Amino acid sequence: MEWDFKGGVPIYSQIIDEMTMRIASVAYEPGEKLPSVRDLAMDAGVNPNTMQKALAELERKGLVFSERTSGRFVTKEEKVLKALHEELARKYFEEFADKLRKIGMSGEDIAGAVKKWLEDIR
Amino acid sequence: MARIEINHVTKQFGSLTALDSVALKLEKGQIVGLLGPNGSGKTTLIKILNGLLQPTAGNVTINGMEPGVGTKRVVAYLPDRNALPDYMTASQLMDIYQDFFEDFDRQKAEAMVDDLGIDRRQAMKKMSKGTKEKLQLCLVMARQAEVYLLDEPIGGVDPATRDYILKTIISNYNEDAVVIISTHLISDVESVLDDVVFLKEGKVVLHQAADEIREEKGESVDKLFREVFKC
Amino acid sequence: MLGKLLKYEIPAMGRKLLPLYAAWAATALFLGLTTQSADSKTEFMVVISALLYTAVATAIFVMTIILIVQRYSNSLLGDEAYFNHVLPVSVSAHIGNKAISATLWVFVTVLVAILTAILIGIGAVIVAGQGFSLREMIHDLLSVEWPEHLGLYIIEVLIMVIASVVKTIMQIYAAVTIGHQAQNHTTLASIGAYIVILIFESMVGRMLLPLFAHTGYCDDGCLNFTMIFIPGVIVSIALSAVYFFICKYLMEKHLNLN
Repeated sequence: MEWDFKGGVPIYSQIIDEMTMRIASVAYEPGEKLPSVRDLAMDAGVNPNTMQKALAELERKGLVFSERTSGRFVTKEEKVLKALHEELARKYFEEFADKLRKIGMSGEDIAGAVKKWLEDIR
Repeated sequence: MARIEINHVTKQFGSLTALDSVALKLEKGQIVGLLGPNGSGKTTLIKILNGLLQPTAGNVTINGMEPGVGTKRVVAYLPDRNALPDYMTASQLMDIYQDFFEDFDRQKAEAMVDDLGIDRRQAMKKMSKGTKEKLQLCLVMARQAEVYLLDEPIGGVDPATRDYILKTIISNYNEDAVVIISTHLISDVESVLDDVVFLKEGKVVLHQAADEIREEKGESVDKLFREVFKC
Repeated sequence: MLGKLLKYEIPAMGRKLLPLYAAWAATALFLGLTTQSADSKTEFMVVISALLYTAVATAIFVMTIILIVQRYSNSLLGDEAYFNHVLPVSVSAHIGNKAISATLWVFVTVLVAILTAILIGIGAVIVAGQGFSLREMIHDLLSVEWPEHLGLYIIEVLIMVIASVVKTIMQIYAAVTIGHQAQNHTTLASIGAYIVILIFESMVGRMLLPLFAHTGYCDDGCLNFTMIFIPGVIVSIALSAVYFFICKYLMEKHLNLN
């Protein structure tokens, strides 16, 4: 897994996005123990404080939880994971719809095009 | 009390003002980028923190002490030149570090030297310029210091080594230490910095958290640097 | 910490001097061998070997002085100062380290000089076919009638020589440290500082001389060595201390490495 940071966005929010993506795509499985802050920071080539801050935010969102002595784990709660998937799907749809609207497609056009595309790739 | 306090330090060389009333407080637990083009006063400031130069006005303290034996025990310094007796081998230089610095971790130094493919029995003067720099960095980073002053640590090395060096700095990070990296190669170090300090013609023109800059200005530290220091 | 500094400083000087000592010993032996066998045909060999011996002796003399200056200015005011001055070691220990090590090597050089003189003799004896006997030599030395209190005189002379060697070394260090205060042309400034120091010393000498002028003689006009020796040593020690504190002060308060 490669980390790649863009210029104008805070690194900690980019880490949150990347980690969220990894959890949603089960690169980290539900209940799996996460590497230590230091190891994650080294792997990403970022400041450990920044990594710590991002993980704390993920914890606040309920995507990860920490156990006092043994470290941080990916949540096992299906409700949270399901909500995460829905949130991500909504986000991608928005981006996708945005682009299509820009080239002049209406909501109906988009729905039709999606249906057609799904049939085509089947 | 901040780990490092720089109180209105001015340094003049004849008629040239290298530092102009620089005031900074740096707390422990962070990695600070001291950024500025060549000649902006980065090296001068680091030398003053090491007691190698005396300020014309103002003073600096580390753990509340002015530079002296007490601060030298806890400061690990990577100078901008080779300062080690170059007829010695890596192994002999590790002996010196072990003799003089209580916080020197020999095993760690040996592991780093081996990782970077440096021959421990080769005399330093027979090493390439890049290898010399790497060896110096290994010796400095193998200390468990409270303050690291790294003057251009990634100046003359290849990208793979640069990554290794940055990882070493990250892995060495601890809540009790402050790491100061002086450089003009900002894009390479940007992601490891907590705070950035911009030095321009001997003055501090910016001291802010790196992520705050990205958030507020919507651009990378590197880009902001190019704007501030546009010729 | 001084001990640790010496552990590295003494070998660092030896590294340069030991090969020269070996060369010196070789030329001494060569000179001894050629002097005895010289006839009209091989006479030029004596000239050559004598020249060689003198050349190496001069080289060592010059080298010792250069080393004293260089080890000090490089380590404490030059590039290596960027390492040495960040060691958790006091400035006094640094200066003391250099002075002790330099004094030590000056005396080793003197010892080697004596040794080469003996080697010339041994070479000559070997060629003369008499064979060399250490026992005979010691026997000869013991059978000489030595003057009274010789041991005391030797110790006095030794202390005086050490004191003046240390003073000379500190004099050089002070000149180099003062010279380094100049922004540029530090070598020139150092030489200038050295000249000023020499003038200062001769002034001190002229001031003190009348005070001791009479103490050196006993009532019947004979020379009382001890009475010259004591003030001489005291003056040397006092001057060494002055130079030491000049170096220490400048390095602690006005160190400016560029």
